[in-house]
Amino acid sequence: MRLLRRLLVFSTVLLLAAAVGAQEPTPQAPPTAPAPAAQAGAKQGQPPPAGRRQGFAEMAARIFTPGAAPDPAAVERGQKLFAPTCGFCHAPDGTGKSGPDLVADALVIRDNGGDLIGRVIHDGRPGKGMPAFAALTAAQIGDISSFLHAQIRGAANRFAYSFQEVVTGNAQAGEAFFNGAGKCNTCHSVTGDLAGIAGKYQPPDLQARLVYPGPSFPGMGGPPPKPVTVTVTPASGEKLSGTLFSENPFEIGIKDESGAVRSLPVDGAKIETHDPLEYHKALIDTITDTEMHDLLAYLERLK
Amino acid sequence: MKLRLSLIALVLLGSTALLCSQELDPSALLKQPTDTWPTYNGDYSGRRYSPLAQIDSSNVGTLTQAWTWRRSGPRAAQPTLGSAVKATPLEVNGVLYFSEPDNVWAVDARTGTEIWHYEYPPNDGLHIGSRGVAMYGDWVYFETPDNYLVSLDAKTGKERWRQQMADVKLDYFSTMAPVIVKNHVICSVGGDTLDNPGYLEARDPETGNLQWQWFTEPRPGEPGAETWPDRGAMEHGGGMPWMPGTYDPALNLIYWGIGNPNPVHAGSGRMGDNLWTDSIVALNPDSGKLQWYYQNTPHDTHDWDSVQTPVLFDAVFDGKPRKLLAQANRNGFFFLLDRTNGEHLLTAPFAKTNWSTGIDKLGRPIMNPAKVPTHDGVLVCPSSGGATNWFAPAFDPPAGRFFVLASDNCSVFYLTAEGKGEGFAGRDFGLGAGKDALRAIDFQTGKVVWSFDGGSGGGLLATAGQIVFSGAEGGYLVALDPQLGNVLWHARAGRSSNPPITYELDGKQYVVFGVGDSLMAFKLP
Repeated sequence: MRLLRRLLVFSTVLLLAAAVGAQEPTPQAPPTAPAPAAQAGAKQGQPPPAGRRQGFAEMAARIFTPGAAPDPAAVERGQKLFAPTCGFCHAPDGTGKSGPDLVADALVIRDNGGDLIGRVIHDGRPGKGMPAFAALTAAQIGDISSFLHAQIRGAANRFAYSFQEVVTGNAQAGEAFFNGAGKCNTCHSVTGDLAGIAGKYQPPDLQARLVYPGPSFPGMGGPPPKPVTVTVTPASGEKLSGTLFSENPFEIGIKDESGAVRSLPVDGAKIETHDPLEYHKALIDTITDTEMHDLLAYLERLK
Repeated sequence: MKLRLSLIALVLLGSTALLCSQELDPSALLKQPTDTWPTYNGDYSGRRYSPLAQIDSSNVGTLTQAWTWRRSGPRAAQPTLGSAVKATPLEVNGVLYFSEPDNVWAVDARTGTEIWHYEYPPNDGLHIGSRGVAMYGDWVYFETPDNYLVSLDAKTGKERWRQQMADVKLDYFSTMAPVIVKNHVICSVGGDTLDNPGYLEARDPETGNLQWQWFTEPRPGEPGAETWPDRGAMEHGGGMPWMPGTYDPALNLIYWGIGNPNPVHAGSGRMGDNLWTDSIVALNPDSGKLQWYYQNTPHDTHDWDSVQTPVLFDAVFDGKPRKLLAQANRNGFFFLLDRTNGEHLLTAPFAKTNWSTGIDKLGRPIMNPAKVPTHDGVLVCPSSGGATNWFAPAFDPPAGRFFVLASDNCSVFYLTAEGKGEGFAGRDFGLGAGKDALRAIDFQTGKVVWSFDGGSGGGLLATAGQIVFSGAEGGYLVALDPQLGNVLWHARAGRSSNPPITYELDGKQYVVFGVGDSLMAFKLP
């Protein structure tokens, strides 16, 4: 159990390391956690995360939003105060209209409990057209600061972003693609293997998987893909068949029926593989975005 | 007599001190080194091509391990994104200097024995990587996750000073290996989780004081401002120059790649080309003034950037001798420019791409408007990780080959924001179907002449011994033939985590790889 947990933490760290920033490759983003208070304006709630998803969400939050989160009650009070008082110029969510975007504002970001924005709110910026809000108390300004900091933290941690409307396609066209040009029904059945599929995945997961249900974010995107079967005929020695366990430029790992793994050199060997996902690999290059949206809309009916 | 003796002693002491103090003469950076690796790319050209040929294609198969250094001691308690040597070590006077976030080490280049270890205090900066250190005289320079430029004594690892480059509260974080050009420490900031402007800086090597700062977005009214809709978008436009650039001493120009614009996946609030994000820029290193620019991805919404090494070499192209600059860009295309003026010469894909409808008259790929992130998702190749990334490329002048670690991954890109958005403002879901490969590009045509599938890791090194060194899947280190791409040597040592380097000491050529938490040196038996 402890080993499992350590493996989990380790893989999460690795994945985060891979997924973070413009500065490193982002092979796979995990599904989102539900929106925090900071993203209260977002339309679409998602099912609560569980297990590894939760672990990932917590780690992402720690890394991208270090330090203590503002008190949710203060955030709520601040939001109620901000929208009618400041929202006309700065937009109800603080992202700016005629007034500047306060979520991307250095003074607001550096503010601590109103120590920097307090004076601006209290005195206004007459030269720039901002009126004074002298009636607001220090406590109220503190609440506004909490609300804005929740917004800033929401922007900083993209792994907590909420999706907008992902399912926009035409389900009928999706059904036609499923049974026609897409040839999905060659291997799949909506009453068989795909029954209830929409209840198992969130729409962005399902949309990625319908194109290629490969080794996506481990433990998050569902079961591992069907194994690749392989037969290796070495330059000398016995022929070996089984499922593909590992692969690199120098050797191939094969798992036989008993579960034993053997590694064989690639050099000089004849290798025959059958990848059940070969069709999906080709689909990446041929499916249009419209077909992808339509197919998602169709599969979303399979709750 | 006594006085005279002490005078002599003083003079002697003084001259020894002078000799010893000059650990790295900055003018040594202008030479093609064999006994040192004095700057991030080995020399200013970014080619990562060493003239050393003791290890060559005929004997590389006998390479044996010389030593291993492994990180020891307690780890920082704060969240860290996996600890690995991603840095390119410097090698000066038989000592290797390299870094991880918050850490710098000096290690004996002959034995792997640790000489000193400097640890920077815990901080809130993003601990994603550290590309290495710079060296000037007796001093080592590195950037911290919370945006300080720190100078250390190369002999002892004692801190001399630290100077703040940016405020960590604004979510800047710094990872670049600084580059010494004359008496300038060129350093930079990174971080695109909030919408901050990027900039390059030059600092005084003695004091760390600012010499100049160059912002990657223009100010209102300046040339380039017309590529942004308004002041707000420009001032929050991102563009982090987070990888070390290159330098041409004869033209007195530094070449730097600039990062992606912000908000990352939402372009509606920043309509226009968004200069100088996703561009290669040429600056005067003494003034920080822009000489020319070339934008590889106008109006990027996929988190690509142009920070990949701008590699400098001189060659005949199209019948004309040229001073060239080549880059394999994260957007999937290889670019060849004339580095005197930024004139475009060639654009060609080296990995799977589906986002462009063609090449415009300036040689820039034309964005297909249907592949811009949407609320319901679009399938785009390459993924946000890119067709390549920070992994160092290499260029072999005699072979005329440009080598790059490429990836053919695709993602479904989503816009999550409503309106102009903040920060990333979107997400991408990688499909995980693409393979990694080491590809050799003929710079004359842009064509991929061979591809070594499974080539991956932290970067490449080419040598006059007719070898390209790389990592490969399965935890292998490999040596390949630059013309054909066939394997000359391989060793299972662990996953390559940095670009390898080479140097010669006491008549022996060493090749050093970063492998996770270790450095591993190889030589002939």
